[in-house]
Amino acid sequence: MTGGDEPVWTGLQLERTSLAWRRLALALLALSLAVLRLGWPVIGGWTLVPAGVVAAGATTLLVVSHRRYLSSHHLLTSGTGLPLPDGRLIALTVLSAMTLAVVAVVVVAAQFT
Amino acid sequence: MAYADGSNPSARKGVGVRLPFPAPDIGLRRHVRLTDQRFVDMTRRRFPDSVYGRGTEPDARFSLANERTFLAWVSVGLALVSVGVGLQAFAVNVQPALRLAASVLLVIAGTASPVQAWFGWARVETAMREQRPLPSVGMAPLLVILLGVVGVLIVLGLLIP
Repeated sequence: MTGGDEPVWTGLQLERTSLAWRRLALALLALSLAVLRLGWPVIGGWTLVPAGVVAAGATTLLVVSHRRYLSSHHLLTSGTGLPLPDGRLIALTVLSAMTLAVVAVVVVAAQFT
Repeated sequence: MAYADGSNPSARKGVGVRLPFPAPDIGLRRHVRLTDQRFVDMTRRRFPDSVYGRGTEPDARFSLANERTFLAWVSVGLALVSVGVGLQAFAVNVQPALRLAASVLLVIAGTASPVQAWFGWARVETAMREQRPLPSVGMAPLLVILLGVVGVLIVLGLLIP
């Protein structure tokens, strides 16, 4: 590995960012378990569908963010001067978080009725 | 497309270099410093264009820090949504109407957080690319007020039988 003294390694910026992504994915995995726990008494086996979707999303995020870390590492060490990965994963994360939140709004709104 | 130094970024997935037109080899390549930042910006389409279409590439450390701030906002959103749903789901011993109000506010804040995460990220990244001062904190003061209101609602809900 080259680039041991390059600025980006000061403060382990890339590692901290990668860990932040991983933390988010783990929070989502925990959320899928919570969905399973809370949903089961209400809709029974159907709870597996939302819990499975969230768990699959979390696993995908783990894999994709790790690939993003590897490709960023390559970009920063290969000396090609190429910029970091773009905002596609960021946009996808926002859309997923929004979807989750809207589902939560519906769940809470259902308490009114 | 191979670069002058022999590296081939497009051979790696996720690091695609796309030309908007087929590039005939007319001997121009040796006249262009292919690792030059301007050439990279010219040939590599990055999403969203409203951010990456402007300015020059900032220090990678700052982009990564911006990404972590984004992730912090998304995590805050998830936490708010979880607490909002949890308040209702676990039927916490708080006056029901006030509990529902707190729950609704939390879930709404949890919906707004990812929106703030996205626009905050894009605004900061653009500002850094254009070497402008960073923008203000966006929806952060609103979130603080909202959390204060939620706190008051829950305290009242605990006091009122």
